[in-house]
Amino acid sequence: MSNRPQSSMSSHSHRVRTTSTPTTVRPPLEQLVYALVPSLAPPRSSRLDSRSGRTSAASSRPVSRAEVGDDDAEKERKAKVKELMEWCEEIMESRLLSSTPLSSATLPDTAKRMLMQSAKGDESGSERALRFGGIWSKLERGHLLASPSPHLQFLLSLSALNPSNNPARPTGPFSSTSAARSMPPPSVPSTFSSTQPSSSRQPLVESQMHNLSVVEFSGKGKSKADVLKAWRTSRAQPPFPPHLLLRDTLYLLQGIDGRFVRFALAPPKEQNPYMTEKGRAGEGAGFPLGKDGAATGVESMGDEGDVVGIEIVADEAKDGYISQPTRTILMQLSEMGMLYRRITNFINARQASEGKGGMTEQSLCHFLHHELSEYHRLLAVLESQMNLTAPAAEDKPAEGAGLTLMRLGLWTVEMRSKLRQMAIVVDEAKVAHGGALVSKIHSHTRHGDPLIRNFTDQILEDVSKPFFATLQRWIFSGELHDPFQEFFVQLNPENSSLRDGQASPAGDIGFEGGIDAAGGQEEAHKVWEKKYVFVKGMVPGFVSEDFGKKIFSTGRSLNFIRYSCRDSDWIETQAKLANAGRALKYSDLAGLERSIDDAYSIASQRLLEIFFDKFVLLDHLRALKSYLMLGAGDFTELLMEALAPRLSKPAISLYRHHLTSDLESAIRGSNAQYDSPDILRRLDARILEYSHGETGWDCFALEYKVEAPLNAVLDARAMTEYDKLFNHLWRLKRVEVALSQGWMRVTSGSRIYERIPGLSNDWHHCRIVQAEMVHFLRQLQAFCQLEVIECSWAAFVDFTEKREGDLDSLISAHREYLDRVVRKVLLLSTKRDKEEVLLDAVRDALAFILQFRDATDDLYGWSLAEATRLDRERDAERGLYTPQTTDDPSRSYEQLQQIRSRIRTCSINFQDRVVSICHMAGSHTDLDVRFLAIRIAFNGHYGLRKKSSASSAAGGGGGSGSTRGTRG
Amino acid sequence: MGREIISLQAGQAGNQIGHQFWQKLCAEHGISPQGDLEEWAADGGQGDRKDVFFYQADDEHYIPRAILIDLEPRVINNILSSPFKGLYNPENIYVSKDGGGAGNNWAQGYSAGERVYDDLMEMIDREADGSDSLEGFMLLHSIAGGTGSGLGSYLLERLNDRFPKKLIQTYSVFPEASDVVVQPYNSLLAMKRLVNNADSVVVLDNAALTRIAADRLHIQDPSFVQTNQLVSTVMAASTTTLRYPSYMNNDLVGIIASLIPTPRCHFLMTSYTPFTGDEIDKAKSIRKTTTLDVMRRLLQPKNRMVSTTSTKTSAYISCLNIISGDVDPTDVHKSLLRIRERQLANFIPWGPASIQVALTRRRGMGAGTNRVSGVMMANHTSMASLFKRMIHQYDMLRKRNAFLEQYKKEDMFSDGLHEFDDARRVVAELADEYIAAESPDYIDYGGE
Repeated sequence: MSNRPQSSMSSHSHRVRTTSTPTTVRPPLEQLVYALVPSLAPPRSSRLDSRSGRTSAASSRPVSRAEVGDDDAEKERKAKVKELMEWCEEIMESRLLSSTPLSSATLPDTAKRMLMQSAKGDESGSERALRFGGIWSKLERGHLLASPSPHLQFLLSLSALNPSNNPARPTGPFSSTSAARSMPPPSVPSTFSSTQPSSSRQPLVESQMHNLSVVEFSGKGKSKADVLKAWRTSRAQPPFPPHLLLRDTLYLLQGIDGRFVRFALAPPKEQNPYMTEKGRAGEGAGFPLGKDGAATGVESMGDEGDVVGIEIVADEAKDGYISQPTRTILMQLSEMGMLYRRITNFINARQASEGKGGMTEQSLCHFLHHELSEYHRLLAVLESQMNLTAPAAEDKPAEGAGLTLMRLGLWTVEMRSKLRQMAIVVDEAKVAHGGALVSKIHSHTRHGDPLIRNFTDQILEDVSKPFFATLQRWIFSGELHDPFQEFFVQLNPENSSLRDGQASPAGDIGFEGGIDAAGGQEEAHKVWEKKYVFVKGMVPGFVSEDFGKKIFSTGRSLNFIRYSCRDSDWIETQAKLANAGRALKYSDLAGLERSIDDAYSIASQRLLEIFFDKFVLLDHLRALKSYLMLGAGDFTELLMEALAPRLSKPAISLYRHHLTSDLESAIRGSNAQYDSPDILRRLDARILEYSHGETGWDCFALEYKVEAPLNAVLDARAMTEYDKLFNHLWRLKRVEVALSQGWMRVTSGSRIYERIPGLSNDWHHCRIVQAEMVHFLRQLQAFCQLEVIECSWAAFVDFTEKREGDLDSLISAHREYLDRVVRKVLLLSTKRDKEEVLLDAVRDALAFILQFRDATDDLYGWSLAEATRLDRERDAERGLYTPQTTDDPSRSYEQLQQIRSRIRTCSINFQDRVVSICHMAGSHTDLDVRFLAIRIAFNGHYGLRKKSSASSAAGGGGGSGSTRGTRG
Repeated sequence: MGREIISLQAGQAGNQIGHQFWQKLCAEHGISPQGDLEEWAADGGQGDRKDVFFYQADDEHYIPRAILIDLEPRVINNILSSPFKGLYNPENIYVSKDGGGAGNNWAQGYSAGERVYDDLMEMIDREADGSDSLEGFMLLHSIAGGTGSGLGSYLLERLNDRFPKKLIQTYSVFPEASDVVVQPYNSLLAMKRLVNNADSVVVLDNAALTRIAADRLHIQDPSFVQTNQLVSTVMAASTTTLRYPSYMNNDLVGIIASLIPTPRCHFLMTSYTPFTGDEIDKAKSIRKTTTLDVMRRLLQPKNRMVSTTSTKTSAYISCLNIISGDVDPTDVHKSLLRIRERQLANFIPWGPASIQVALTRRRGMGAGTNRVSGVMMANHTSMASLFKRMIHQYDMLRKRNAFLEQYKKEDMFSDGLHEFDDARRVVAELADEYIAAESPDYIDYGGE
């Protein structure tokens, strides 16, 4: 495509050079120059116009303004005119004549035809053709020109270049090289029209011209550019052959280095001057890079797409000059190549990883493939365009047809933005995968550019397909089919070891392992709670987090129904779900929400139904309340009655079979017998671990066994809490029974020892204290039962009746219920290390009650003995024989004193405890616990004590309100 | 399970009350007049314990653990001609062969008791043997007449000897001034046994019952049946916790132990609200009741089934409200706070005291079961006024040495009337102790 005169010029060029003499052509040439560049015309340029209509027709440019030039300007002008004229000559000598020869006979016809087709101003094409015919015949006849044909040919070629309706022609002074450079970039290298005005050629040119934008015309219209090129060529600065550049550009577009233009790569990491000393040392030593090096190598391979720009490696001095605008265009075009490289690199890398990247990525790759094939098709079209022109003139691409850098840029605008978008997505895909990737892509749908928006939607539609497939399986069959962890629900990694039944590492999760070992069975709670995790980061952007939770819950419910409940449940559930099933896709988000809402409510309702109706959860909870929280008083009392003798013995003498048989008889004897066998079989008596010296009371526990799936709600932790509750309430019950027995002795049985003198005061004191104890205990019990358990239960039952939410809400409702009961029954404080202060005080008080009971029993025994002794004395007085006893009255009096002091100690200790309990409970953070203080000090008794008793100064009485308790 | 309670109904009033009581229990537990389970109660799991008051015969039908004793056949014959005739165990019915009654004379009744002791004890022993773990006895009687008062007194003494470790609770109807001329004698003598030989006495005052019937139920001049229905309602209500076990108060000792701190002060007053048509024939229904309403009304003196005169220092030694029906547990909490705030109840100064609340949820029984109703059992120091009035009436009569001849005929009084004096002393001591319990010094009461 070189414009330089070549030695291999055709013979015509030689012929022309020899036949045309410069002198004959000069005046018209000068006129021609003036016509072409009116700014160079001498002030009296009107002459030129009047003298040469042809040139004016050819130039077709209105002379808009006259340049007012001074002498210098005039000189300069002449120099330039001269230069231009030389150039024109050169054109005529070298280039024009190298075109295909035309016989002088056909030339005028061609010109006529051309004129026929062009219309200018008020003249129609045919009028102009007529005029031309007249002029031509004059020329031929008049011999004004030695050989008019070459001139005509020249003009024709000029006119082809210069369509008469060229609108926007820069009028800037054509003065310096810098001005030339500032001209619109020579984006259309093929400014020379085909000199073969064959009619077959014409329509193509025409159509091309119509397809092209105005810019194209303006570029094309610049025959000056050609002039410039020619001029440059003459100055040993020939423009770089555009077709070579084009070819290279097409290569670039495919991400391949061209011959002259290459991608500039970022320097590999090893060559990074900022690398560490060590790295450089390694590099410098030239040692083969070891493993690390290999790794970096891979990395750099991965970074191959790191194209930072292009570099032009053409030897401009040799091959020609590439102007700056061309470079810019090349740069712009090369962006696509760069993007293309990034995208293909990504695809290749993913394909090489054999699908480890996940299905979202795979479908992204698929989409990219699809889009890239579009791109390839475009490239193919472009290339064919290029090739179309190339064979016609091997080094001179056809005018108007084929490819130019400009056109290339234009035709690829849309594709470029797509490529950009794809490249962005690809970049994102490197750091995110699965749902997160979908999320990231989704964020582009809010783009303002509708093109990008639509394109992103297309991407999403494709990319989200695996997501929706997973979603569908998840919410309609409760199965997580997600081999690449792309879904926002994932198998809990820490759970896998538990599920596999492997012993967990002793270190970090030893606690759980312990429970597991104790539980011995797979716990449904863990399955429910920990089988799957919700990964917030993987929730696609078009799914809100709440909604994601819903999806999570739906699938979890189904999965639970499927695997933890029984098959029949699943079948029923599935039948219900069948109606809800709908194809989910990105484009139907509203339908998605509906489907998920449906599935959610079906699944969670179904699961709750299963729990409540099939697994009678409420019955189990009621049983727990009855048996472990001692709600079934008759059962508890029977059990305690049966067990009491055993439990008073050292723990070591306890045998489980005794306990279970007592349990059995307690069940049979009480209303528990009407409970369902399924509940009763779960009740079991257990001996806790005990240490030396403990009695059966300390280590007896009632147990309620739950298995999957019930233990989803009644998990190990909950059962521990129930155990705690049982322990405390059982203790209360034990003290209650002890006090009742004590009452039978101390109060009801008083008739037996009433006659013993000197003891009535003791007994009266005992009764008063005992009444206090009874009061305390009963208030405590009533508080636990009424204020705490019943109220919490009522709230819980309210919740269950609504049957709202999913299993999670059920679990949390139960947890809340249980927590509330535990916190209040055990009077737990919110303070960290003082949690059980109040509970400890209560336990102390209870212990003192039991001690007091023992002491009063001793007093009772002593009274009986004393009564017997007195009887004997009376008998002896009456002269009856009495067997000699070893009892020493003084010693027994000592015993009495001992007993008295024990009773006194117990009483005082107990009362002190109660006072401090009232005080602590009265200032408790929990209002209900405060009410316990009010209950205990209902009549202000403990408030009064505070005032009257200095010993209990530490105690605060029954809280602030208790002092205004009623009293007569 | 056990904790059975054997009911002994002595005399005209005792049997009438008892008859009403059993009817009520049958209705609550779904036991037909023939002792069969009604359909709705047949499947078990009503949460009730029928075995406390009933036992099952071989053919599974329920028989009350009741012994019906009277010295004249009229009332018992009425019972035996009622639809409930098949309910009782005929072997448990004792009607004196001579049928002459006790002539409204305590001494006659007491002597008759001695005479028929073996027959009675045979019944009682048989019943006691028939129970797993007998908790105690419940004596229903009036203390004004002859049989309930005198024979009842004798029974109390003997039961105490024979079953020293069993509880004895009585539902004792205290007389109106006009009932029987010699009722001050009878009452006083019976009172001595109630003080010494019973563990707990639920005092029901005829005067108060009549008043309640008039004021609360707007029945002027109520019949015996109607007042007995009042009593049986209270009895049924106060035994609800025994029959419908819950967390606590499932046994008599638990209830009594919390109400009675010292052995002699075991006279309990009761209130019940609201009385409606369900309990009492021809009673007008009153407005809707809330838990607070119930608890507040239970504390009102006019609802007490005892006519006592409260003074400023009168105080509750203890108080237990048994509330049935659909009660929101949180309401109880609120009501207690309200009562305390408004100081609706005075309590003793020498120890802690409060209103205990037991909730029971009777099931079955058809309509009206969910209505909130409550019974209060309270140990109140104003009981002293009752005893003082009793002593006063006795003193008035005794001053004139009126009507003593009939008493002197019996063995007990053949060698003098010191039994009267002893009884008076016991009752006076009791009154004094109740008064003393109003003072903080009660802690050291009876010190030597």
